[in-house]
Amino acid sequence: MKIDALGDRALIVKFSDVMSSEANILVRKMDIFLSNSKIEGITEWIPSYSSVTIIFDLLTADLKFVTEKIREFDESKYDLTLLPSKKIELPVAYGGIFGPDIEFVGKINGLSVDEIIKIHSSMTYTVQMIGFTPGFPYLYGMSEKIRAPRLEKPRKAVPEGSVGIAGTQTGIYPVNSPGGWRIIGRTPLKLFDPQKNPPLLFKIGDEIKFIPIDRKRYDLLCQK
Amino acid sequence: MSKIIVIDPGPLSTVQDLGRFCFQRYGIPQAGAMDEFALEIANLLVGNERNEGAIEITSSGFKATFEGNANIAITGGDLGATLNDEEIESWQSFLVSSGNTIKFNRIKKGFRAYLSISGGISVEKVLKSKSTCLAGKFGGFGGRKLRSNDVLSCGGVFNKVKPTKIDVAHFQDYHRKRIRVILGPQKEYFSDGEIDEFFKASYILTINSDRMGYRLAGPELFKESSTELLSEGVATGSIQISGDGLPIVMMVDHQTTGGYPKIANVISIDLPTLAQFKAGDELSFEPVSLDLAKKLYIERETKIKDLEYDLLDSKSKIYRVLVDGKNFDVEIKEKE
Repeated sequence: MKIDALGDRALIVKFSDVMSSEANILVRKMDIFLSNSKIEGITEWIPSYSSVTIIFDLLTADLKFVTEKIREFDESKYDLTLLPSKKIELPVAYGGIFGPDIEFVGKINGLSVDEIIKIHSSMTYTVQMIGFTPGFPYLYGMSEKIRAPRLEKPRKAVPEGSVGIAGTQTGIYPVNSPGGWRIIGRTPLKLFDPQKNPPLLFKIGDEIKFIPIDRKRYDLLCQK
Repeated sequence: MSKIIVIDPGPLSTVQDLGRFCFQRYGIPQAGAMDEFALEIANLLVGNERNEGAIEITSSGFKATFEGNANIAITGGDLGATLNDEEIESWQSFLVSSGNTIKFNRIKKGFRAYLSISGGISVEKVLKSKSTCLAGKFGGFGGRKLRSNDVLSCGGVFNKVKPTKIDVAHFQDYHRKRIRVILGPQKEYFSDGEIDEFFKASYILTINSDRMGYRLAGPELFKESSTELLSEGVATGSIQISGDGLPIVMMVDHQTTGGYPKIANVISIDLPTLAQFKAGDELSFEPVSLDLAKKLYIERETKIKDLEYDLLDSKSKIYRVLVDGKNFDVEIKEKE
């Protein structure tokens, strides 16, 4: 565990320099430690792949104070089976107007569109980080077989619900936004709603599985 | 109940408070006023809580009329404001009545002004804040920037505060061109020579700068290490060195995570000063210690607290005392 100042009112607790499920589990344990310990002066924290950025109030805390408290974190106290995580099934209409890049992803990997769908929807993914736009989940666990580079020029507008691939990662655009990921499908479910608290259907550590649906089912679910 | 009727919104006017906290873990930007100090003072001058919603006006062009009586205040950058065509100075409060018109005519100094009104702007809080989240299109006034003919209702209370002007130089150094930073957390990505270069360099704020981030033009820094940094949570004021070797300073609407190495972070007290920079302005960076950053921040906070109590005009005085490194507010009341 490495702790570094991020300016005068934040710090970063880092568990690893590389992406791994072990480091991400430590992040989730730290997340629970922070929720439970209610350290004075901490206003919020941002869990990511292998680190947690903690923001504090300079009037009631500082780097030294928060660091001392963080050092009390004992990961062995947090049994993995007790980490709260949800399993979420997300219906996705692959290809066609919903997935304009799926043929490209197939072509560069020497696979058919059906094979891409089969591989992408057969895995269970872990939400390792949320960032980029409100609610965008970075999902861990995608097969190397369907990897794809980002677009050279990002699209100005990617519709809400779009499912994309960048490198060996997959993710979902919960709000309309610009974006450079290769889009292979779209979910009709509303993932992000700022009128609700929590505003997002999932959190870090949750597991997501994509269920292929056809256009008819997509339209039906959209109406709900 | 008073109202603000927007005649011309200018290029970018939004409703902001001090920001949205505790939701960055969902990828939701903090948002809030770019110049949090100016927003706080604007609110205090009209008798509001510091965190009330006010209008952040960017550049010149904003014009609005008032309906009903109210106290208003303008703070932040000097955008050549006039009230009923008479010039008015920033950092003070005024009484307005129905039909009065406020206009921000031209950029004189700074880039962002704050218009507060007694009772605050009545918009619903979304995720505990009145701030506009432009990326998520929620919060503030309909989740968007203000348009002509928008009517903003203001809180029902008409506070009895006397029109006041503050001496802003007592609180905040807006003339500073050398922005103070804390080095790191990824200074090891750069050679000592590159770090030296960074502090010697003069940078210019480019036109591609907004509430999300300031893109700077100047000498390019080459990263020592070619290894990409795994994305991690960033903070307002974080200075990332992007792929082209140029700095991007994260501002209040910044993405919650970022994967470029951060050479340094702007100290909290200098963020309001930085918020007033506009495209073409020159700036440079200077490293300081965490202790100094904290000391300066607490000093300014003490001054704001003093102003808050002065404006309240109460018979009690509150003193901030430091005991064992912690702050306590002690209230002393005059005997009846």
